[in-house]
Order: sequence, then structure tokens, then C-alpha cells
Amino acid sequence: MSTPLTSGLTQLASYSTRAAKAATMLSKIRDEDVEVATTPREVVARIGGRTLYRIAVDAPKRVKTPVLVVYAMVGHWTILDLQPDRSFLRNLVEAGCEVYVLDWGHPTAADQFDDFSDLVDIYMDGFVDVICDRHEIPSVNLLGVCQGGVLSLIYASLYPEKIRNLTTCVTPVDFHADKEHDRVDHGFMNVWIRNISPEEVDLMIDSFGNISGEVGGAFFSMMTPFRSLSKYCLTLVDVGQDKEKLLNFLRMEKWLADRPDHTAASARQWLKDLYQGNKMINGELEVGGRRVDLKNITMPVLNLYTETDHIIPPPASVVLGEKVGSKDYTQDVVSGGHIGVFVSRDGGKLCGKIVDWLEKR
Amino acid sequence: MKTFAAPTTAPAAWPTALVPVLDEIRSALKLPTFSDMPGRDLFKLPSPAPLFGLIQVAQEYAAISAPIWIKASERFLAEAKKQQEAGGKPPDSGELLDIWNNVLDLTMMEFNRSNEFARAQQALLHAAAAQRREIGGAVERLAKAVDMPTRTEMTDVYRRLHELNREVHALRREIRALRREPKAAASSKRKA
Repeated sequence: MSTPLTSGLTQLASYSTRAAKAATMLSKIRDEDVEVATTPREVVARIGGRTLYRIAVDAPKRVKTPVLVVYAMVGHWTILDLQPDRSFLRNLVEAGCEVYVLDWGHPTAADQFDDFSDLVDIYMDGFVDVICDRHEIPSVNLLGVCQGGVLSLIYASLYPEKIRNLTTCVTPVDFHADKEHDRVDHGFMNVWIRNISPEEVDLMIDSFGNISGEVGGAFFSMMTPFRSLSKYCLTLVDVGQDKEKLLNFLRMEKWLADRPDHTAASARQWLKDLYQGNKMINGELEVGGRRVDLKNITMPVLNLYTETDHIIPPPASVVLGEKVGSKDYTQDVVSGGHIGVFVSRDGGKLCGKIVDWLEKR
Repeated sequence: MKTFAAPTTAPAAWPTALVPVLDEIRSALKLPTFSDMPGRDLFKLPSPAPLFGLIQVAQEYAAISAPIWIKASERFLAEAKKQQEAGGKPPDSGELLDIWNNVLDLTMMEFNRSNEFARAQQALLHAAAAQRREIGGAVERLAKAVDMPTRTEMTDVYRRLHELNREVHALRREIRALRREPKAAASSKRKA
């Protein structure tokens, strides 16, 4: 007869067995077994510490105009190429695009004065020119992810003639939209940053300079506090029963550990002008002395977001359609979390959707 | 409800530095200034006051976050009882662990969005910034004493480098535009 005691002991024995199996499997894995961003790529250009890569995979092209993918400065772009069967970039190429990706690198104290103007006018514009010269074209397709999507919106509004089509993925546009969203598990960053004053943002930046990757990582851990704490004793034991799942977990860990610093000047603008001031959507954001007017975005726009995004609440993204000047605006929901969208095994469907849209334009 | 003290610097009663002995003696005896005597800065060691301020903030944070566990435990028991009543039998250990994980996550998320947490973060920011300034200042003085580059000097170099970088890129853009102009002019001549 099963009693609570025997049931508990059975569960404990089962957990111990699973933990032992996970430990055995983990002991056989070395760091070189855990690789990310393995899809072949070539260095096309460098500007300072930033690099433009071309994904060097041959596949039939359905879209003639190359796509420049701009990831955020928070976290490394390599999440878009986590592993061969979960690679957003590879899927995009295999769906029919010529793909370039901008690597923001690992900013140091020497980069602390790089603000939005430098990111957009020097690096992004510089790399767009490189691609245009290479292909002898006047404009590129731009695809921005999260903060990279914000930078893409800024670029597209300042250089609309250089963008043929604009795609934004999980991109915040209205940084105060979470106020009406009212979900305790969404939008923590919005709440945290609005709880400190602009002067305190200045104090933080002036005291510490670049925002270190570790500090950024700590903020993200606070969004799911206990899950972040318990992953090494619960999740690791679960995935440790299967080698492929364990390697997938370890690749995510490797990517999470690769936390670039965020340049001080752009962090100041990101936190004060956007998170606190919400200036972009109000038409008050200035970059390099020029006002960013989303109405200048007149090229076709595809805006993708997810309903289960706990970092960028959906209301922050969906408002884009009302703000751009484009007459060809498409919005679509994709499945997955903020990062899950790009590392899901169904990534091929997402890329197929993007390429279908691009092919018609 | 525990309220956080407004973010301040450490109390003035804390000793802030090793007493600048020469300055005190000179002041008391009204001695003239000597140009080649060791300066006040050389004697100034980092003050422990910001560090104690930071430790104090951390302790206050621990005090306000302790009730989370009580709240989470109460919620856990309530949820476990609810599931038992619904299912007709007590949840097994796996189900109990799931309940605990979800309850604790939710409780911590609520705390992270509370005013108490916000005040704690502000206090932590101020204390950490004060500590950083104190240590930075001490290291800067030491670096100067041994003729090593200081943070201030490096920041100045980086600023100049950044300005030069911007100038170079602006010039490159101008050259690119100028190079395009003859091509555009030639193209329009051909069309005419």
C-alpha cells in the first residue's frame, strides 16, 4: 500500500537517479563540444570594433535584395544561430535570402561615448553602404530584432531612401504601453527603470560607465527570479536525461554567459529617452541633432511580435502600425517567447513567413 | 511596513580620511605653504564609509525581502490544500515542487515590482555609486603617484578618439557624396 512516506521516498529515489544520470552525462561534455554560431560566415567589413558578416551558405535566392539583420546590443547576435537545427539566420538563407548580420562586438571603455547617432550614422549606415556597393543596389532589406529593431526604426526614419523593406521582430515602440497591460510576469524592465529618476540613471552611467553584461544579466534574471535560481538543480536534471537536450541547454548557457557590455552613451539614451521619456513614439527623440519621425518610414513594414513575450509586452510592439507613414504595413503574431521565437525548431516557418512577405516586395 | 531610508551618503561622523597632518600643523602654526612638501592627496586613503553604507543597504534589503518567504510559504500551503480538495488526495512531491516553484516565482515577481523594492534599488544604486567613486578616487591617486595612466586620462583619450572617429566618418560621407556627383552629372549629360 502506498503511503505519503513511501511515495515521497520513491520520488526522492527517482530524482536521485535522474540527477546521477545527468551528472554522468555532463561529466563527458567539454566546452569545445558546446559550440554556437557554427553556420559558415565570412567577414565582409569592420568599422571599429563592429563587424559585418555574410552568412556563407548557398541556397536558391527568392529575394534579390540582401537582408541586413541587426540584433540588440543586449546579448550577442549569436542567439540567431544557436545550433544548426535552431538557426534563424540559416533558416532565412535556406528560405531564399542573402543574409548579412551586424555584430556589435564586445564594447570596451573605449566605446563608452558611442551613442545612438554613432550606432546608426556610423556603423549601420557604413555597413549598409558596404552592402549596397557590393551588390550595386541603392537600398537593402533591414531586419531588426528587439533593440536592434528600435535602431532599425531610427535608421529607417533618417535614411528611408536606403531601405527597401523593413522588418521588426519583438521590437518595443511604445515603452509605456505596459501600464495598461498589467501582468506581473511582463514588462519588469519598464517598471524598474521608471522607478528610478533620470538623475539616478545619470548617476549610474557616470559612476559605472558602460553597463556591464553581468549587470544586464542580473536584471533579466530578476524577471523570472526563482526559475533563474533553480535551473541548475531542476532544469539541468531534466535535460540531463537526453544528450541533445543537454547540449541545447548548454548552448543557451554559453550564449547567456557571453554578455557584451552596453556602451554608456547609448545606454543613457535607451534608459532616459526611451524607457523613461518614451520619446520615439511621441516624436521627440533626437539622434545626431535630427528628430526621429516614424512618419518618414514609408517603405513596406512587417512587424512581428509574440503574445508570450515577457520582456517586451505585446502592447509595446503593436502600436507601430499607427505611427509609421507606410501604406504597406503588415503585423503578425508568432509563437514563442522573446528568445524562443528565434531558437524554436519551428524557426523555418517564421523565416518562411518573412521571405514570403519580402518576395512580394 | 519597513521603509527604506532615503538614499544619502554616509554620516559625517564616520572618519573620512587619514588626517592630513601637515595641513593641520601648518594651519595651527600659521606656517607658509611649501611647494615641494608632499600634498594632502598623497596621504588620503580610501574611506571605508561608502563600503559601510553599502553593507547597511544590503542588510536593509535582506530585512525587507525576508517576508517574501513567509508569504510564499502561506501561499504554497493554501495552493496545496486547494489542489488536495480538488483532487481528493494530497499532491505528490513532484506536484508540490511545481506548486512551490510557481508560487515563489510569482511572489518574487510581485516584490520586484513593489515600492519597497524600488526604494531598495535606489538606495543600492546610491551606495554602490558612492563606493565606486571612493575606490576610483583612491586608485586614481595611486596611479598618479606611480606615473600610471589614470581613468580620467583614459576617458579623455577615449573622448578625443571618439570625436576624431566622428570627424573621419563625416569626411568619408562627404567624399562618397562628392564621388557620386560627377557620375550623376555625367549620367544626366548623356540623357540630355
